[in-house]
Amino acid sequence: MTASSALVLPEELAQPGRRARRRLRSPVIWLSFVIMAGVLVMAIFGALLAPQNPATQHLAIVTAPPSGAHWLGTDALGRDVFSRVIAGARTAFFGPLVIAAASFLLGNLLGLFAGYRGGLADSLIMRWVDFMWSLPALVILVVVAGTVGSSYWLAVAVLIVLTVPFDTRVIRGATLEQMPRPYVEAAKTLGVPRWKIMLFHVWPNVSPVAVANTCLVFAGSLVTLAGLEFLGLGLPPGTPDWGLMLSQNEALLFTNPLATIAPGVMIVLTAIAMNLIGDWLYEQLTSRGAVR
Amino acid sequence: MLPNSKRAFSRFASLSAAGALLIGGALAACSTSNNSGSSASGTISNFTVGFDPAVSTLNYAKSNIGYQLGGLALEPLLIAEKSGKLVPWLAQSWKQTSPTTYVYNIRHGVKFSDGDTLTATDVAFSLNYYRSTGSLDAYNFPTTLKSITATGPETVTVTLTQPDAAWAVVPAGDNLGIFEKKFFEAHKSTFGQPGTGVMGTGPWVITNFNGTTGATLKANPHYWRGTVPIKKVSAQFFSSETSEALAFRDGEIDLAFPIDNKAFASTAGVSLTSVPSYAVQGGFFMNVLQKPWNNVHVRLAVAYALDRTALIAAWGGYADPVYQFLTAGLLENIGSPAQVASVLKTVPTYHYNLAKAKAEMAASPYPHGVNATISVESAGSYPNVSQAIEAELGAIGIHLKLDVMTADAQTANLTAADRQGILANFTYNGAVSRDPGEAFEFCMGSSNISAGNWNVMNWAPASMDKLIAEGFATTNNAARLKIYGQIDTAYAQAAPFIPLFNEDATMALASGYKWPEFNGYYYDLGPWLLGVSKS
Amino acid sequence: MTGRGMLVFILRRLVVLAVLLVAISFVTFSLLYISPGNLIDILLGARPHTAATVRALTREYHLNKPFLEQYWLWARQAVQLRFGTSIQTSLSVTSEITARLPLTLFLGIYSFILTMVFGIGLGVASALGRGNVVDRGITGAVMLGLSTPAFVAAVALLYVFAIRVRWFPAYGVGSGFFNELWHLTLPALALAVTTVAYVVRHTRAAMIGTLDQDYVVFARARGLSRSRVLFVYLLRNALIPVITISGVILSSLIVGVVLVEVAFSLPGLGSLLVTAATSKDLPVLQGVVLLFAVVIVVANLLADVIYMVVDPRIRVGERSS
Repeated sequence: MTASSALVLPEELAQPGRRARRRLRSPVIWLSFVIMAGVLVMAIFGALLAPQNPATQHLAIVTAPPSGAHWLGTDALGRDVFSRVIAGARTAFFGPLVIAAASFLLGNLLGLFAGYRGGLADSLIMRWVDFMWSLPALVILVVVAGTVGSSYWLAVAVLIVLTVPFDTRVIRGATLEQMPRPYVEAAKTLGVPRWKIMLFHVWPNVSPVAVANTCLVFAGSLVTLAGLEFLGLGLPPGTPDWGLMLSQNEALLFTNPLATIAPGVMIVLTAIAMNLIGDWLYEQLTSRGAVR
Repeated sequence: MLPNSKRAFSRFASLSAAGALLIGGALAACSTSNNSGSSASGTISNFTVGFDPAVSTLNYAKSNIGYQLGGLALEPLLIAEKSGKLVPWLAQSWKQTSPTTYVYNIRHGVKFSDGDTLTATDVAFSLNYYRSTGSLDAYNFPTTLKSITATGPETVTVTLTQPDAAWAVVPAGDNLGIFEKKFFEAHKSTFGQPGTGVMGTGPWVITNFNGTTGATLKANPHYWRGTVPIKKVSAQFFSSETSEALAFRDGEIDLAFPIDNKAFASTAGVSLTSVPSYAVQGGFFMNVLQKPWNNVHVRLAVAYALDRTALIAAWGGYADPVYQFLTAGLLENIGSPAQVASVLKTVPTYHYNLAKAKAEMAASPYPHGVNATISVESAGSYPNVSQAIEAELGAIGIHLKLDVMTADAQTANLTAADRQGILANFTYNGAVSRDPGEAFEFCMGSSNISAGNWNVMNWAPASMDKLIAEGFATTNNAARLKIYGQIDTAYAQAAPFIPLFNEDATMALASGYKWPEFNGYYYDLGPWLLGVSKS
Repeated sequence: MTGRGMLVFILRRLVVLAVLLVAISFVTFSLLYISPGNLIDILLGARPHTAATVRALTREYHLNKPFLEQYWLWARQAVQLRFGTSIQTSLSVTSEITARLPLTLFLGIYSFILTMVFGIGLGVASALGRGNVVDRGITGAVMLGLSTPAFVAAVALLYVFAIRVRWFPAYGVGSGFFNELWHLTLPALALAVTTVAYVVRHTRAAMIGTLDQDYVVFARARGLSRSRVLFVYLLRNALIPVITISGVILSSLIVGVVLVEVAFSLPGLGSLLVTAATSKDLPVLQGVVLLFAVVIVVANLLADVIYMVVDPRIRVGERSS
């Protein structure tokens, strides 16, 4: 299972009862956007923002606890943990971004097609989706790394393949809901080409689901990629990456626990923020009446 | 061989042919009194030792990981003392009857733990099994070895094709423990494996062996040297040093041999016992068949760019810097400190000097920098030191890519038939002998540039082969010292290997116990755990 | 549904299962060939490359035969649970797996029980108190749980409960049932964090849906006891959706097992898989992957069948999505 799919309940997305909670969560949503904006800025500017060069080793002050010079202390090679946490946003952000974007594109096309066409095409696509749906993504990534070799972007590519079915499934469901609507019938009767109906008539109505879903895919991919890095099967050692830092600094839990805790907190914060934004987006977009 | 013998490193663990030299207090006492068990310190009902990584089999022909554990149950024919002198163990006596013949008399009355008597057949069978084709133990035997045969119930005769001084120390290898032929034949396909184990003459018997969690051993009632003081030994396997340290902290294990010393000490809350060792030398190996290392300026630039103080910090301390291939500590085994100092005076050394390093790079074909890949073992402090090296070489324009792999995968790369594909790396070499000629011979000379052998630098000009041979041709220590000084000079000038630091031998021992004679060679002393007693 | 319809359904599913297994085994076998580098060198690992060892390997893996025949011979062995020998340890892959299987099973089942008990319990509590403090607390915790990967949970639990307050051991597997239970509590909790959150969310949604159903309202109106309504009418219907997510739970547990075993240094199948991947020990990789695949495929079939049995509303052939 892609971790993303564990985060989402397509059935639940369609439950109006959840809208009641929206108001309660608005400060939380606000905070989520702040976190994501922060992560985005860190991902783009990375080392430029960091107070110190995240790669510089100060071997005289290894595993130092937090201090004025090193807010989160140093790791086993005397590198500034705070700077590395900032620099680590890059791999945490861009990989999931690429995955979310690619699977958005492919998943929407496949989902629209399956939902609109129905019949054999739908059934074949859904069989494939069902199969992929049950695959544990991280295990696949581990096997690929063990067979072909460790590589971050290879993992990203594999995750795209594993995530597309998830988008497909959600979009197909939403498309199926749209199919009996009068506007679809009307367009068909008017002889609008099929691809136009799909892209310009149906898709705008399912897009809220698609956009919300993409946030959830982003959060799921972030968590899965970090897991792979944690296992040491993605990036080379020394790369500032939250998952990698978590495993490499596990030995420092007694000397400078923050070196391990900080990247873990960042992973969770970013994932929560993205999940909340996804939920919120869905509620916003659907309450405006775009869907149903 | 290496102090941290728990490391699964074949090249160190298994290259201990000449073996060990300091006999532990308990052992020394028993070789005279033959009565180790009734020592004043009393018996120990249960003693737990941590191992990392797990031992998957005690069949030495199939894995190099198990010697340390196996050494408690399987004993060698001989043991080598500090002076290099061989002392009898399972062989009561031996003599060289002709330049190519050695006859070993097996000790009378030694019993396997099942009560059967040790015979010459068992000895010949074990050694021949270890040297059979495909055995990972085979390279302990010189190519001059012709046959090992049982020529009497208690006599084993070894025949060589030509005189070879190297044979004498082979039977003292800790990785050539003698096992029972009958037991082997009853468990041919599973010999040494979890569930089956091995049958030896050692002080402990393996009663339970699980390849993932650990093993239990009990005192051998038939032990030939008397009552065994530690009644039960539990071996616990760990897959990470952090968990081993936590176990030590909680009193679950009594003895551990850390690699990442500093992290272990802080996690376990213990001060480690550490003794300097000349046996284990960490350094940076460069394959001279491979770009960019094939250029001597690049290698010299590396020599100047590596800062030993910083690298020792990255290692986690517990190490002393070294500047020669054959170190002073090693050379002092055949000469006085003053003699050694005078020989080493003319050997060039490279201290950290960024300006000189940059000047060498400027003189190389890569004045604007170059990319290279090094292999990194995934365990312990290797990734840390390799990253520190990456940063230091990056400063002079050598941009390293770190290829992280397990110890076994790295061994495969380092000893591959494809010599050009051997990646440069930071690792350490274990001396196989206190004799400076023998010590690192396994990774020198053209004869070791071949599949399965350890000249990973692939550097061996004819002059080096000549020096190696000359070193063995004479017994005059002054002359040998001079030759080894020349070897040091040759290595320093060509710089295929940058000696960085000697790692100390370290252990964590729970309070209430003592191991007075612990040293970097404990591993070769047959049943090494006999050295531990109540304090 | 009729018994006959059920039989046809199960048979059809079995055929799909067989096809899936063949496909998975084929891909798994092909891993040997996908791997870059010389196959002989890969399989030899650290063993010496001599004519004799190469011959032995060629025989063992039938490397001189055509690809499909190699696959066939390999698959026949795999069916008998023989996957060759580990490159790293020289032990048979089967013995490597069986040595670690009990731990992983123990951990998985322990976690599964935690997932069900806490997941359904908290889900029901949350649904019954819809909108109150408890519900909001649980809902927030669910969001946290869904966003916390098992390895972060593992390190956090390790730090808090094994290092700061030393309530649980931080290492090892223990011996004897209760000792093992105690040792594996933190790993099982770390493993259950995500799955509990998932089950809570599902149970809550299903319960809320059921609470508004007419038959529940009638049951209450008839004066049936609160607990009877809860257990007979509500829970039974609310549990059905939980079965549909069992595949997701299983997948999540398998992924979690890999991460948690590595984080806690436990010698189970998950850490075996990672070690095999790090050392390119392909025979072990193949064995573990096939085992996981069979578990997932069979469990999904079982879930479908159970779903059929417990939910009479479902008719065969109507579950295409």
